[in-house]
Amino acid sequence: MSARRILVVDDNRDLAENLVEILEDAGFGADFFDDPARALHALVPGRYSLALIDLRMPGMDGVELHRALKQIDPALKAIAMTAFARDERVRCALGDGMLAVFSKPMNAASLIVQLREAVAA
Amino acid sequence: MAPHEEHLFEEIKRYVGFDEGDEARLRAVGPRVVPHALAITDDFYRHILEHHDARRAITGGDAQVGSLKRTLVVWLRELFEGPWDLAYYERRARIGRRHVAIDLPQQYMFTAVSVIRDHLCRIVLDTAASPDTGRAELFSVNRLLDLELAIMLHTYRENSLARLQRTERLATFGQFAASIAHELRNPLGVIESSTFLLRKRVGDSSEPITRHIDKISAQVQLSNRIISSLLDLVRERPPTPRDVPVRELLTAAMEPLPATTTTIELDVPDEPLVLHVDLDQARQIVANLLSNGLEAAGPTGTVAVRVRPEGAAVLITVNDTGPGIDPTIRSRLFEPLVSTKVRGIGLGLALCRRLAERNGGTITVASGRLPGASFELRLPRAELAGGIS
Repeated sequence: MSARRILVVDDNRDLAENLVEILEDAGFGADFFDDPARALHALVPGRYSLALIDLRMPGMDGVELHRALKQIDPALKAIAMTAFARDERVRCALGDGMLAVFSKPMNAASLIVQLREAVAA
Repeated sequence: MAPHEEHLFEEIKRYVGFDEGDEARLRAVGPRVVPHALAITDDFYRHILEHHDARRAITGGDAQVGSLKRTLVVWLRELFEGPWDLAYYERRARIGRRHVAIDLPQQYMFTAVSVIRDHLCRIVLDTAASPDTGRAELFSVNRLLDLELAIMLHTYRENSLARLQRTERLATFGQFAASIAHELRNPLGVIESSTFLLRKRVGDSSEPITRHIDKISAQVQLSNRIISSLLDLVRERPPTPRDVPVRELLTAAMEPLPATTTTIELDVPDEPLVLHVDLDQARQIVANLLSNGLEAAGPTGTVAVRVRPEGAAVLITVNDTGPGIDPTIRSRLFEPLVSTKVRGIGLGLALCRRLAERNGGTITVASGRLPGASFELRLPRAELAGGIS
């Protein structure tokens, strides 16, 4: 069961909560953190199959967080979200092997499709 | 009149040593030259029309040449009338600005004045009371012609300064706007996702509620499109031009338009016209002009799109039956944040001009067959790629 769990990290708490609700509706288990450091601290290898990470966050950006998460759980897949589609971090995120970058405001339906594909793969 | 203009004219007069003696001599020369004004003018335009690149700046055919000739006759008369004061300067500068507006290359302005100079010098020498008088009159005529050239050159400088200011203004505005635009996408993301959830929670049964949810969704999409066009405006993506048939461009531009009852008249010649542009950027320009036209024309109106080859360019005219352009903002129409629309924020046309310029084209407002706004977009033709301005 834990294989379908999604980790949501976004410093915008309202968005993070909404995403969890949308994911749960779609049949995923999901937890959110609005603080990247706490997300990192809470990660247990194998607990999540995929992380949904905002690229711009205070303290630690999404690219850094993803690298740190991968240190702990190399099998963790990741998808990025950003309001800044032309951010240098987008290139870094894809270069680091994140599966996709979603531009905010995101289309929830296509996000779910992409997550299902990613988790099933 | 701005103080620097006063300074400029007085300064250049001093610089060439133009004084009361010159003024008196010019007044004496005037009556000998004016009878020849028409002949000089005919010769002048014969030279221009023989020259392909110079001729290209004259797009209005015989009617325009006729009106230009009348202007030149007046110009010649005033040359010798005086007073050579600030009002004189302003009148001359206005003509110079007209050259800038029609993109007359500066080198033709110089060579064209040389044609006039030849005529004037010959007349002065042929009709002078004595060789000494003629020689002095010749110097005065040349001083004045140099002043004329200086004024005309200054109008080109005004234009490039204005361009520079526009670019700087856009850059400052752009950085500021881009950061706000990006920031707005975060709250939009929350609204969008909450709307998505709300729609699921209320289901299909609750029509009055879903109607409002639909409105929220549509407005979120609209906000996001505004942000996108704003970011497109300030983004510096260099064009990647390729050969694009004009029909392909029109199809691409019309494809995303919403269904409309507005009549769209397409007048595209049968001959295959190929542009050399970045398709996506050119599409944005045409789509923007079309969507403005459709909005202005309204459901019962007409938008006419006309395509014609024009020298090294293809001219695409978009003309509508809407209320036309408010004359008070006509000259600033392509600046960011200037809009004729009640709900417009004034990014569309600024973006159009920027994209047109980046693709070696131009966009201008003109008057068309239909009573509303008319925009002329010129984009470089593939066979003659390399810019048209």
